[in-house]
Amino acid sequence: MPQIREELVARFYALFEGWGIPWIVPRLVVMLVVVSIIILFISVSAMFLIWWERKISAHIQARFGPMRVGGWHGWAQSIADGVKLLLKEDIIPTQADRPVFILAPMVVFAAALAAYVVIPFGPGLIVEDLNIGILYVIAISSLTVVGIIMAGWGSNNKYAALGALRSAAQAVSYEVPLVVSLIGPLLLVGSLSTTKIVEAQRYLWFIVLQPLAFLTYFTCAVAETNRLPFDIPEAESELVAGFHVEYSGMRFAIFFLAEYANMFTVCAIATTVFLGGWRGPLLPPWLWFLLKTFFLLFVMIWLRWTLARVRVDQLMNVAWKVLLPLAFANLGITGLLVWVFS
Amino acid sequence: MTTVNLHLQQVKERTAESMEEMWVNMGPQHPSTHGVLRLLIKLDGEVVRECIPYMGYMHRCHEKIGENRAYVQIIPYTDRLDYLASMYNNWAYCLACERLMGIQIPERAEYLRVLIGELQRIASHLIWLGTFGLDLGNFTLFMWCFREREMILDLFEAVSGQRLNYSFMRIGGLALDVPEGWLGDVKAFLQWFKPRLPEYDRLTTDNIIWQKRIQGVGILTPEDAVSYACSGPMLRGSGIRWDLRKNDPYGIYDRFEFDIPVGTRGDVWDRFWVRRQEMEQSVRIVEQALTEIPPGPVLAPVAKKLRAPVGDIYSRVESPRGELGDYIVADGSEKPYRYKVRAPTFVNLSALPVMLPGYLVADAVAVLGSVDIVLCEVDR
Amino acid sequence: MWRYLRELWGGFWSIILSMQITLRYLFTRAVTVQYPEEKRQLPVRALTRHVLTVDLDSKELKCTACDMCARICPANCIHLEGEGKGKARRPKWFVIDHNLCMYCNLCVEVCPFDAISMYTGMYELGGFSRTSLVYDMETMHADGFYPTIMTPRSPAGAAVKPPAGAGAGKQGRKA
Repeated sequence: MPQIREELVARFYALFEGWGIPWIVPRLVVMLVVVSIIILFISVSAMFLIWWERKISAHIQARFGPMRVGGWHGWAQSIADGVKLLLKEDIIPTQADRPVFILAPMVVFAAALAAYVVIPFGPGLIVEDLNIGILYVIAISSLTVVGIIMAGWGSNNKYAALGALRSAAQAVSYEVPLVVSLIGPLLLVGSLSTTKIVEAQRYLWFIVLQPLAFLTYFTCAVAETNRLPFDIPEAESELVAGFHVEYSGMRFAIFFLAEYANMFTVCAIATTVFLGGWRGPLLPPWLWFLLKTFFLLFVMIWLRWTLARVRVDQLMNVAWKVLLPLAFANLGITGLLVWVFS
Repeated sequence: MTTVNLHLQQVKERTAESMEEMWVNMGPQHPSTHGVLRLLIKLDGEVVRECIPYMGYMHRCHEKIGENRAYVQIIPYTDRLDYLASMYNNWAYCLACERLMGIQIPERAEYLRVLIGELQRIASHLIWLGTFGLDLGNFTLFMWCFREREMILDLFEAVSGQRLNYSFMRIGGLALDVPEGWLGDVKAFLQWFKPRLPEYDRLTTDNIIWQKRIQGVGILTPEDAVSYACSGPMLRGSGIRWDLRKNDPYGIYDRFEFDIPVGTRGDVWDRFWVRRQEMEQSVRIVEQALTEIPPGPVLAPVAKKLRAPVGDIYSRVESPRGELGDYIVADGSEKPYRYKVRAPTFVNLSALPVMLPGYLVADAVAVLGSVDIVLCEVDR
Repeated sequence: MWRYLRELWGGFWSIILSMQITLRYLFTRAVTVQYPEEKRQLPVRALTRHVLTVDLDSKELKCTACDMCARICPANCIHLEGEGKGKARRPKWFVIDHNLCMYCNLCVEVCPFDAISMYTGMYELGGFSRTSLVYDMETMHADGFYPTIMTPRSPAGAAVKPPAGAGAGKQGRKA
C-alpha cells in the first residue's frame, strides 16, 4: 500500500517535471486532493455520527429518534439537516466583531482538520507519518480553544463571552493531565510517531499495561471535545448555547462538524495509543481501526446521555485533584518499571 | 503626566471597567427559566451577586375573569393556573365553593379526589424531576419521567377525556364516576411505577455528579423559609414539618397513613429528596385509597344554578408545589364578588433572591429548578 | 489518602452503575407511537369535536334550542337561535367556535336532552384558517350513533365503536 502510493506520487511529480512546470504545482495538487479526501471523510463520518448519536440517545430514552427522512430509520436525516443549515440565512449580529466572528468557525474547523494528518487508519494509510505525531495532535487540538474564544469574543454576547472564558479555563486545565497520561505509553514505545506506537502493540494492547492512563486520557478527551458531562462551555441550560449562541446556518454547521471531527480525532488517538490501532484478526486493518474508534465514540455518546453536567469549580477539581495526580502516578510507575526492566 | 503614565492610567480605568460586575438577563427566553420568567442577575465572573426576578409576562387576569363568571364556569379556568397539576386547582376551587355553600360531598367522591389528587402529585413531581434533570444536563431522565407521566395522563384521559386541563371536579363532587376497570388500571400503573423509582435513583440519587451538583447549594434557612411564607417541598426541604394534609386535613386525608418527608439543611438536595420521597408516599396513599374506596354516587345533589350565601371563605389544599389557597367573597349572586388565588409558586419564587447570591450561574439554574415554578400560576 | 481513593472509586462505580441502566434501556422497546401511521386508541371519554346528536329512528336533531349550553359555556363559544314552539322547537342555526372552546364538557353535562356530545373521536381539526375551526349546524349534524355521558359506562380504554359510517366524512368540510 505505501509503496503504491509513493510510486503514484513520484510518477505524478515526474509528469509535471517533464512538462517543465515548477515542483510547487504538483505538490499543491497532491495537497488539495488529500485535503479534499479528509474533508469528505470528516463530513461523512460526522453526519453518520450525528445520526448515530441521535439514534442511540433516542433508544436510551425509550423512543425512536429520526425515522422519516430517507426511509430506513431516517438515515438521511443528517443530510437533510445539513442542506437546511446551508440554505439558511447568514446572520451576523450588528454589534459583533465581524472579522473575528467570521474567522472563528474557520479556525475551529482548521484545527479539527489538521489533526487528521497523523491518524494511522491502516499500515501506510496515513497522510504524513510525522516523527512527532502525538505531540503534533496535542498542539493542534489546543488550537480549537482559540477559535472558541474568538467566537465568544466576536459575538459580543454575554453568554458567549462566559462560554468562551469557561472553555479557556477548561482547555488549560485538561491539556495537562491529557499530555501526562499519554506520556506513559510513549515511554513504553520510545517514539512519538503514531505508526511506531501501533507497531509496538503487536503482542499486547497498551490498555492492558496502562489502564489508568487510558481512563485518564479518555476523561480528558471528553472534556477536550466539550461533551457532556464536561460541556460547560456550551451548557445549554445555563448559557443557552455558550460560545456559539449567536451563530446560525452555515457557520453553526461548521462548529457542529468540528465538534464531531474532534470527537473522532480524540477517539482515533485513543485507539492508536491504547487499543492497538489497526491491529486485529480477519478483518482488514482500516475496518478494525474504524470499529475500535466507533466503539469509543459509542462510549462517549453513552456517557453523554447518562450523566448530568458538572459545575465549573468541580470541573477544575476533577482536573487538578483527580486526573492530574492519577496521571502522574501512572507516569511515575511506568517510568520506574521501564527503568527497572531495561 | 508623561504619555506612558497616561496610557497606564487609561489601561487601569479600562480594566477597572471590565472587572466590574455584569448584569445578565436570564430569560424571558432562556431554556431553563421554565417559561417566561426574567431573572436579572448580577454576575461577578461566574458568581451570582444579586438576583431580581421579574414576573408577569403571562398575566391573564385570571381573578378578574373569575369575577365575571358563574361559580361553575370558573372551574375550566382554574385548570389553566398550574397546568401541571390541574386536578389540584380544581380541587382547591371546588373545596372553597363547597365550604362556602355548605355542600357535603359523597364518600366515593372524596376517595376518588384523594386518589386522583395523589396520582396528580406523582405526575407533577415526575415532570419536576424530569425538567430538573434537564436543568442539570441530564436529558435521559427527562424522557423517562415523561414516559411514566404519560401513563398517568392516560389514566386521567380515560376518566375526564383530557390530558392536561381536566376540569374534572365539580362543586359537590366529580363530573363523572370513573369508568369500569379503571381502578384496576391504577393498580397496574402502580405495579409498573414502583420499580421505576430505583431506576431514577441510579441516574440521580446514587450518581456522584448529581450529588455533587446539588448538595449544599441554594440554602434556604428555616427562618427565611417561614418569613417568606414558602410552602410545600420548599418549606419541608428547609426542615419544617408542615403539610396541609396533616396539619389542616381537608377531604378525608385524616384517614390515611403516610409520612411527611423533611430535609435537614434546606439546600437543593433536600428539596429534591423531599419530592422524591413524596412520590413514594403518594403511592402509599393511592394504595390505601384503592382498598378502601366505597361504591356510591360521586356528585352531591346540587342546584343547577349555584348561588353562594353572602360571606367569604379561604380554603387551601396541599398542591405539589405548596399551599394552594382560594379566597372567595360572595355577595349572594351567582358570581363571586371577589376571587383570589394564593399561588404557591408565586410565593416560593419570591424567596429566590435570598437563595441565589454567592453561588455560581450553574447553581442558579439548579436553584431555580428546585423551586418548581409554573409561570402560568405565578403570573395568573 | 485512603478516603480520597475510596471516594474516587465510589464516584467511578456510581457512574458505572448509571451507565449500566442506560445500556439496559438501549435495548428496551421504544414507547413512541408513530402518529400518522399508528394512532393510539382514544378512550371513550376523550373530549374532541362537538357533535349534535340525532334521534336514531327519525334522524332528527335532539336539540331543542333551549340555550342552556350557550349560557353555561365559560368561553362563550356557542351561539344558536331556535325556531318553533314547544316540542317542535329546533335550532335555526347553531355555531360553535372551536378557536375558543376549552373542552370543559360543561355544555354536554348541562344539556337536558342529551343533544350534544364531545365523545366523537374527531381530533384532527387542523386547518389553514381560523374560520375552518368555526363549525356550523350542518358540519356538526351527527350521522349516526355517538356515545354521550348518558351512554352506559364502558371499560376504560376500550372505545365503544360507533356503528360504521359514523363521523366519517364530516370532518373536512368547512363551516
